[in-house]
This record gives sequence, C-alpha cells and structure tokens, in this order.
Amino acid sequence: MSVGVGIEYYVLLSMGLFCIGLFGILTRRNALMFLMSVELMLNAANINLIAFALYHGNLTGQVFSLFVIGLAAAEVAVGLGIILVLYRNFRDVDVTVPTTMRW
Amino acid sequence: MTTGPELRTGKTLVPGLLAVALFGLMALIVLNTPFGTVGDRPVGFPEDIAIVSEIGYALFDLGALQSGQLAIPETESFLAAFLLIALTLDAALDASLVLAKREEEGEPVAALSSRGAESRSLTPPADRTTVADGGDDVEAEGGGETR
Repeated sequence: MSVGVGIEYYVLLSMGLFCIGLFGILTRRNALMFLMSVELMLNAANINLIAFALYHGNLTGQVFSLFVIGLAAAEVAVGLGIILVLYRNFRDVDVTVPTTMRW
Repeated sequence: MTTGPELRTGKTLVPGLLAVALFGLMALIVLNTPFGTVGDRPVGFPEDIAIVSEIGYALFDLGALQSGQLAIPETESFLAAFLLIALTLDAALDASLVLAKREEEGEPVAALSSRGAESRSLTPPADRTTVADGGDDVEAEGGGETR
C-alpha cells in the first residue's frame, strides 16, 4: 500500500501545530490558553507518531499516540483543578499573578 | 462598536516571532530532507489488514488472536503501559477532585458532594451580583480575563 501524501507534509503539519502551541505558550497569560496550547503541542507529537508508524509499517506509533491522548486527558484533569484553585485564590487566571512558587 | 483582532506589539512580540521563526527553520530542514523508503519494504501497511483489531491485540497483549500471516509485523505489546496509563488516569481523577474541593469555615466541601449546596448560604451577600448563568459577576470586582 502506498502513502498518498508524502511523509514530509505530515511532519510539516505537526510542526505547524507545535509552533502554534509554542506561540500560545509564549504570548498568552491566560492559564486556559496555556492548557490549550499544551494540548496542541501534544497533538503535534501524535501526528508525528502516527505518520511515522504508517511510514515504517508497524503499529507501535499508533498505540503510543493512544497513550499520549490518555496522558493528555490526565494532564487536563489536573490542570483544570489547578486553574480552579488559581481562580478561587486570586479571582483571576492570569499565570503571572501567582508568584508564591516562582523560583 | 465591534473591534477586530489586532497584533499586540508589546513584549510578547519577540517570543511570538521566535515561534514563527522556529517554524520557518524546521520547515526548511524538513523540506530539504530526503525521506525516501524504509529499506526494501514498501511504505505503509499491507492490504486487507484490520488495523483497529491489530491495535487492540497490541494493547492487550493478545498475540495469539492476531490474524496470522496478515498480522502487522514488529508491533510490540503494550499491556503493562496500558495498565500504567489506567492507574495514572485514576490518580489524575482523584487529584482533580482533591483540587476542586472547597473549604468553608474549616470544613472541606467536595465539589461532587450532595451536601455541598447545603453549606452555602441561600441568599447571596449584598455586594455580590449574580449573572445569568448562576455564577458571580467577576467583572464587577475587577477580576476576570484580561488577555
């Protein structure tokens, strides 16, 4: 079976998603936007895993991407809990406001 | 009057340009990389193979049920990783519930508790306004989303 789209275009797509996520993390201060940006970066990694699994003809990358999706769900659960506490304590979700644990 | 999106040219401009430049650099590298084929094997999966079934067999280490010669080669089993992820998700669920727990007058009030609503005062304080969705109007207190 041949791959209709070249592997480099999958990699380009994943790089685009990754850089959009990185852009969000570097430029936004909203904690929810941070979470969304991290999800974008994780999904960029997923696209890479699945594309190279197809390219190499085995399923390891596809199964691994399922695990990444599961870990992303766990991360969102904890992240939303942290944002809830953040809002409860500071009445804001700006990540630059809480400085107690800043190094 | 509606306002359209506008580019912020403050101190976030340089990190934003950094991300765009990183994309340009990586795109240049990828487009100049010859990927070719993997050895002498054809790229992709064999015809007439049930990929979802194969993923299920790999997830639960059911190699005996794999479809013989039609199985996808070199796929590892992931039962231990599957169980670890299940435990991690369970721990994350517990952690989110702990984080969502409120404390009122020293008493912890769980977010999903049926007694949570009873501990609240039925009449809101006079200085808190209530918006249509039942939440507090945070804009009146100067909080809320700024960016």
